[in-house]
Amino acid sequence: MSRPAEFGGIAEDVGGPLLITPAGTTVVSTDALLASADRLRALERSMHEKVRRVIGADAVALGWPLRDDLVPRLERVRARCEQARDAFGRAAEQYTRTEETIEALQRQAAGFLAALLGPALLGALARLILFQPGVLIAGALAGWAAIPDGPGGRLGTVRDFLLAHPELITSPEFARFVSLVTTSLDDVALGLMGVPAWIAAIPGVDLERGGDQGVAFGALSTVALGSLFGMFRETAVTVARESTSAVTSAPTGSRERLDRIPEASPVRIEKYEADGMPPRYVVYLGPTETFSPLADDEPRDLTSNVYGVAGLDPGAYRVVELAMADAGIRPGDEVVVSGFSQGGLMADLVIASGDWNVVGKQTFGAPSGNIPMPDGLFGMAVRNTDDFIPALAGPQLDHRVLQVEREAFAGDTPPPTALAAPAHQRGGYADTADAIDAAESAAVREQNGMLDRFATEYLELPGGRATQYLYRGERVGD
Amino acid sequence: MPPVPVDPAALRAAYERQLAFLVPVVDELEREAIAPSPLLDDDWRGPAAEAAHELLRDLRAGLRDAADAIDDEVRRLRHRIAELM
Repeated sequence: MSRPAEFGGIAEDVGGPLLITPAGTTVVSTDALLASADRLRALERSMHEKVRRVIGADAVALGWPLRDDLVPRLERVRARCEQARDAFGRAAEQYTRTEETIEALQRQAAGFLAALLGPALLGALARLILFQPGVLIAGALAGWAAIPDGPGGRLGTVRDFLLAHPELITSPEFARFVSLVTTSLDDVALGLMGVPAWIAAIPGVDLERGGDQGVAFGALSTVALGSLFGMFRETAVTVARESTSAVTSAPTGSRERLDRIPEASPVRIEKYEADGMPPRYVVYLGPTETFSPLADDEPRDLTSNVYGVAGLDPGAYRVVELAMADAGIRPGDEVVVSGFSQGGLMADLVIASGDWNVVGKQTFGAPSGNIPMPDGLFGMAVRNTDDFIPALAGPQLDHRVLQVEREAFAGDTPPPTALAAPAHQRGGYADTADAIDAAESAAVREQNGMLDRFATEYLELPGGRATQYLYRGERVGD
Repeated sequence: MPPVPVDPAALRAAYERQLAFLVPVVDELEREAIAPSPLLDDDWRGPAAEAAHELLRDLRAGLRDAADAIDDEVRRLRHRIAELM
C-alpha cells in the first residue's frame, strides 16, 4: 500500500508493535507474543498427535514392544511449550496489572485535584466575571496581544505553532492526560456540591452513567456550558442520496476498509446480494468535517461529537439512521459498521441503539470507549495510543470486542508537521491498518478474516453482486 | 509349555504397521527440530531474551532427542523385518 501524502517526509512506517486485547479479556499482549503462543500451542497439538501415534504403534497386535520412554520424551516437549505459553500469559497479565494500577492511581489523583482545585478555580473565575470583569477582559486582551501577529493573524500563529510542534499533542502520555481530564470533570462537580476531595477521588464515587466513570457527565456539562454562549445546539437533519453505483469487489483487509470510509460524503452503504440469500450491508462512516462549536448546516461537527460522547442523539447519528433506512436496511438484515473518528463514534451508537442487527464492526480512532457493546460482535476497535481523540471519551471501558492499539510514531522519529494531530489522521491509521493486515496472531487474523468474509463470500455465490449508495446529510433549522 | 509359533508373515505385517505409525513421526520431529523459531521477534531484551533463547534451545534439543529415540525403534523394526525375510 502507498504511503499517505501527508507523511511524505517519513519514508516508512515508524509505528510501534500492535497491542492486542482479545475480546472478553482486559489482558494486553503484543501481536508477536500472541502469535508466538499460537505457534507453541500448535507444537503442543503436534506432540499430542505424535503421542497418539506412538501409543497406536505400541498397541499393534503381534507388534514389537516399543521402548517405554518414547511417550515421556514427547510429553517433555509438549510440557515445555505449555510452560512457555503460561509464562507469556503471566507476563501479559503482569504488564496489564501494572498498567491498570498506575492508571488507577493517576485517575484517583486527578479526581482528587479536580474536586479540590476545580471549585476554587471556577469560583475565582465566577468572581472575576461578576465583580471584576474589566480585569478579566484586560488579562484576556493582554494574552491575545502577546501572541505574534503572523501572516494568518494571531489564530494562524497558534495553528502554525501547533502544526510545527505536533509532538506536544502526539504521545501516549498526552492521550492519558486527556483521558484523565475527561473522567475528572464530574469530580469538579462533586467538589462544587461540597463532597470532600478525598471522597470524590475514591473509585466508583462518580457522577457516572452505566459505569462510564463520569465521561458522559463531562460531555453533558460541556453542552450545558456551551449552550450559554449559543454553542452545541442540536438541530433536525435531512439526508439525500448522492449516488448509486455498482461495486466490483469487496474490501479485503483493514487498510482497504479504512480506505473505503468516505471523506467527502458522510455515509457510504454497500449492499451485498446473492441468489436466495437475504441482503447484507456494510455501512462506512466518515470523520468530523468541521470543529466549529457553532452548528451550521454540516452535521459532522463538534456538536455531534459532544452529543455522541454524552450519549445523546447527535445530528450525525440521525443522518446515519436515515441513510440506512433509505438504503432499505431492515431491522433483521445483517450489518457491519466501519467508521473513522466521529464515524467510529456514530458506528458504535448504531450498535448500542439495538435498533439494527449489527453483527460486526471496525472502528478507527473512535472516541467511544464509554459506549457498552453487546456480546457476539466480531471485528475490532482500532486506536493509536498517541492519538488523544479517542481519549476524549475516557478510557476504553468495553472489552466485548477485540481492541487493537499501536503507537503511530514510536521511537525517536518526530511526527510529520503537514497536518495537526498526525496520529489521528488517516495516514496514522493507514499504517496501523497495514500492520493489522500483516498481524500473525490468530486473535487478529480471525477477526480481520471475519470482516473480510462478511462481504466477499456473497460475491462468490451465484448471483453475487453489490451496490454502493453515497449519502450526504444536512442540518436544517432548529 | 513351549511358545506358540507365530506366522512370520503376520509378524512382518505387524512390524510394518508399526513402521507406518512411527516413520512419519520421526520425519515430522526432524523437520520441527530445524524449523524457524516459534517465537516471533518481539524485541526480547535482558532476562526475557535469555529465557527465549533457552526455550528455543530446549525445544530443539527435546525434538531431536524424541526423533532420535523413535528413529532407534524404527531401525530396530526394520532390522526385525529384514530378519524375517
